Amino acid sequence: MKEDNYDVVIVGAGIAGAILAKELTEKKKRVLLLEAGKASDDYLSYLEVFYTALAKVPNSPYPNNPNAPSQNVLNLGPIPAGAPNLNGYMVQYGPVPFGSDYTRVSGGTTMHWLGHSFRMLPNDFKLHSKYGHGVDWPISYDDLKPFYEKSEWEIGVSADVEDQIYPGMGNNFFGKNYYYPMKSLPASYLDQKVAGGINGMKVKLGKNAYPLSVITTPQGRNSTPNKGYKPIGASWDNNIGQRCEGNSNCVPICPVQAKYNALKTLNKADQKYLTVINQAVASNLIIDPETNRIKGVTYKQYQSAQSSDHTSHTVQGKIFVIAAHAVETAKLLLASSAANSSDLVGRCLMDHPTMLTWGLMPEDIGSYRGPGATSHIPTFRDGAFRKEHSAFIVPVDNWGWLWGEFSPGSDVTRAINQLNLFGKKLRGYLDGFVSRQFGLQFEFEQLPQHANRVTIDPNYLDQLGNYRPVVHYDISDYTRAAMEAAKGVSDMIFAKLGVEDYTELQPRRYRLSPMERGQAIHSRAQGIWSALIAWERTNQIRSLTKTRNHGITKTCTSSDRAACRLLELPILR
Amino acid sequence: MKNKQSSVDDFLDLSSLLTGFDKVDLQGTGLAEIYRKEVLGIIGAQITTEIEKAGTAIYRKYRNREKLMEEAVRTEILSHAVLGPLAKNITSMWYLGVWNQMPQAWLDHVGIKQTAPSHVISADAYKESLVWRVVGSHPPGAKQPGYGTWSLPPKTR
Repeated sequence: MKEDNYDVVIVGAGIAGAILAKELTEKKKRVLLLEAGKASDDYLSYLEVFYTALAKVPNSPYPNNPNAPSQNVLNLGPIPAGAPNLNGYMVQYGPVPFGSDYTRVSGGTTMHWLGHSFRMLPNDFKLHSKYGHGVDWPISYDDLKPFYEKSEWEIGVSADVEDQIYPGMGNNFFGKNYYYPMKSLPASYLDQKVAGGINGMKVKLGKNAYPLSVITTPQGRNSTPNKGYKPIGASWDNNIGQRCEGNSNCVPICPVQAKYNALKTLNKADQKYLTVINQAVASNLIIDPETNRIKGVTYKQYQSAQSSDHTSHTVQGKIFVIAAHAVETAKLLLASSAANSSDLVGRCLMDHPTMLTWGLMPEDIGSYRGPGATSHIPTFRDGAFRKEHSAFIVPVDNWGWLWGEFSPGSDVTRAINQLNLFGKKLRGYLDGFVSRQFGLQFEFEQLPQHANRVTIDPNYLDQLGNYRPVVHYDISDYTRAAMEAAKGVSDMIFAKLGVEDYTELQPRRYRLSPMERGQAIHSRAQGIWSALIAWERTNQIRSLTKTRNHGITKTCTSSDRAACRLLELPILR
Repeated sequence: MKNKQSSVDDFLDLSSLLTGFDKVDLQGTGLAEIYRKEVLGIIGAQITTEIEKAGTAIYRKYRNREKLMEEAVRTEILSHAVLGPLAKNITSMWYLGVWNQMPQAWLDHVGIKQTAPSHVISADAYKESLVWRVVGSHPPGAKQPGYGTWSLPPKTR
């Protein structure tokens, strides 16, 4: 073992690891941060890779690193019964493919997140007692509120409190004098058209009618600062990215880092107390059998992504934080036989299943401009309907049919090859067709289901000999019922706005054919940018402080023998 | 020095017909020579020259006479077994910055055994892809229009 004995060893340089590193080094704790991926010290090179990527999926700008692989949405595919899909990094047993990916590079998945920073609602914490589904949390919204505030100020969230009106939010959702660090980003032109058309419109779900509202979306993206906040620009030059510049490319990469990523937090850590080792993949936790505490972490360090050559090292520390993303964290615990007498590690894997609807607005709405979504419909985040089906949130998409149809690339290809258009008629057609493209996203709550899980299997290893995640995943009837209800909502909204519906609700084309890849000038495939919302209970190892890849962290110790649930908030997209 | 056989200018004539953009706009992308080289490299000089000659002849004869021009392009280029698929690919290259692999039937027809797979031609090709200009936007991640511009009505084009 190394001589070094750190106060805290953190696995994972994503948002949770970065925030802990910052807070702990501020308190003069000696922190070691282990990152499986490469350092993000040449961010602009990511941008160049993005420009020349044929399929501009969320992980396209980031290094393809077989020593710390990431799931690529291009590897998604239907799963035949009994045989897993082995195409990507994940070993997928399904029956539904797990559609999200994450990024193993310093900065973590915040490198390609969209930036939406929602708080959960009070009833989300008491779903069982209120609606008879899922489970109640051992904590309430009020317990988390101060941490929401803290993380909104760390991330730099832009929103106006007075705009943020949600169903079931109660009287004191925001503290009395609370304000976000920055003012709301302006709603897009098309948001305004949608809001003008449907605000106050009543939509029936079950026995009740719900009035629709369209409100701006809180997001971790620089706008105009409020008192006491200084926007943080690009990690390589703070003068760049002080405000969103309208690159319309939050996913997969903001060229100016006006969007928050964890590198910004990491840069704030007191470097005197921080040691970062990149290209160091944690492979095992060493547990002292007498105390049942973690006493060391073994990691494999490699020099090049192209070679599996590596050396193994072990470091010691007083406290270990596994902040390696919900999937990777579960993998590491399982690989180390840690914290799992409950058999709950890796279980209740969640995503945010998404349904898209899309159509043509009657007029030019200026699609494909601005951040991915600047407004959303909060109406169905809470209500009596949750007795019947899950809640959902509805971002109004600023990027047209990009996700649903890989537009406008696919429109160009179709216009040229099938419609046989060229010259001025081609221009005219695309102008009229693309700038009217409109889309809604319906993103659904998933309940904790034991069978949805990450596990490991010695038959499935990566090139360093670490486990690949083996995933079992399905979508419950409770969530599927919400998808049906949502399609009804979409139909009514489209009817009110005069939208010509082009939605094809078929099983997704999971895999792009070579031709489609050619067309996918800027494609997002199914479920791509989300991180996981996992939910686990683990209570055995006292020194295990476990966090998720978000702004909120929660410490779990065995002093509380009751199940300690670890929560991932705010919802990261 | 202008090469009488075939030149970037001929390529621009052809490209203007196919894309519906003025030559000055295409020239302004800085990509005409690069795209021409791409086509020459993948397809070879013979067919490239043939399509350029066909294009420049139509361009010179019928520019500003939209209907006749369209008729001629359809007759002499688009419906031509060899030139048609190539013309579509050149159009798509200008609009998307992507070279699509030529269809197998076409490759068999002209006797090309190995060919370039689909690829983005360069970072600049992506940034200059014409589709974004046509729809009044900008290539995502480049040519950013500035803070708050998305909240204003789309510009008239």
